[in-house]
Formats: sequence, C-alpha cells, structure tokens
Amino acid sequence: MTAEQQEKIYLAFHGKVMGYLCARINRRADAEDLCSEVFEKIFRRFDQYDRTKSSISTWVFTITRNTLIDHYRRTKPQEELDENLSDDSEIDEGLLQNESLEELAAALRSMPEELRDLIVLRYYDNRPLTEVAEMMGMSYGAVKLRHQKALGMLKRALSDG
Amino acid sequence: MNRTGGQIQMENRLKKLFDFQRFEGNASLQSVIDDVHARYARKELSLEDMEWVSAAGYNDPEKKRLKLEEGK
Repeated sequence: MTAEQQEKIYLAFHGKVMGYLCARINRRADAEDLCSEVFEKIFRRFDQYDRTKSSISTWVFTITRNTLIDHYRRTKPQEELDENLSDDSEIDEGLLQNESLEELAAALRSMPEELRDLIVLRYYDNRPLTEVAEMMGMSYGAVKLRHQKALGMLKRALSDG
Repeated sequence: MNRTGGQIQMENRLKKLFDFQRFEGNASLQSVIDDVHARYARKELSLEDMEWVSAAGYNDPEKKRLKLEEGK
C-alpha cells in the first residue's frame, strides 16, 4: 500500500472511525489510541480487502468494531459487552451497506409515528422496552404489543428479511 | 408472549444496522432519528415546564423565579 493510498483512506475515514469510537468510549485519549490501532490494522491488512465482497466503508467499519470489541474484552473482561456489539460476532458485510440504511430509513418513514419512535428509541438509543414505555407514556404491555407489530412491519418492508 | 425466531433475527438485524449507522451517518436515516429525538426532547421539556404551571392552570413566572433563586 502506498503512502498516498494510506493518506487517502485516513482522510476519508478518520472522522467516521473517531466518531464511532468516541460515542462508545468515555475517555478521548483511549478513543485516539484505538483509532491509531484501527488505522495500523487497515494499512497492514489492505491487501486482504476484497472489493467484490464489501464496500471499503463496510470493511473499515468491521475492523473498527472488532477493535472496539477487543478493547472491551481487554479492559473489562468481567463486564458484559454492549448489547449492540455482543449478539453474534460475525458481521454480515452484505447487510451493512449504505443502501440497507436507505432502505431502513424508507421503511421507518412508511410506519406510523409511534412505531417508528419505538424502533429508534429501542434499537438506536439502545433503551430497554420498560424505559421506552415510560418515555412514550404507555404501559409496558402496550409497548410490547406495538414492538411486535413494528418488527413484523419492518420484516415485510425490508427486502430479503 | 415469546419472541419468535423471525423476531429475534429482525432485532439482531436492526441492532447491526443502527450500529453501522453510528459509523456511516447515512443522511436519510439520520434525519428519521433526529426527528424522533427532537420529538422526545420537546416532550421532556414540556413535562419540565409543567412543574411551573400553577394549580390554577397557568404558568407562574414568579414561582419559577423564586425556585430558581432557591437553587442558587
């Protein structure tokens, strides 16, 4: 990988990598250390990147996410991983495309407002349903029913779901 | 009410997509997220404002001023 290629990738992704890490790590100095670790890996493994399998953005995201998971395991081995990082560790690179995000945005816009709110509060903000219920001024049971309905609607709206 | 396999799959898919959104910052999806957040920020604000509404049902600026002074 040439120095010019490295610079291009660094300039294109430094903001995204730092933004993602800073949102999950309290100390900025730790986020900066991890960011350097991410770019070292990107430069070292660049010849392994297969553009037919995923976009460069998805590939960089995968390295960033895995570096963050390693950091959590290293520094807090006794604590459970963040819910959004812990389910199955393998990333489906086919799913993680900008087009999938566009598709999700369109699907959410087509839903009734209260169901859209519920999905964003639950899955983007990572709040438990009990807290979502409180925020929406509904009983837990009512939110649970709407949650199932929202998941069903999204399943139908998103292709190959 | 038990979660079905399809629901769990959809939940995992949403978690991954929203996690990717934190990295990718897709503008269309971000605008949906920002709309929701703005709505709930307004709701929280109006609930806070309710504290300043007097029993007669109108907003009492004097009561608000005194309470703020107390908190100094």
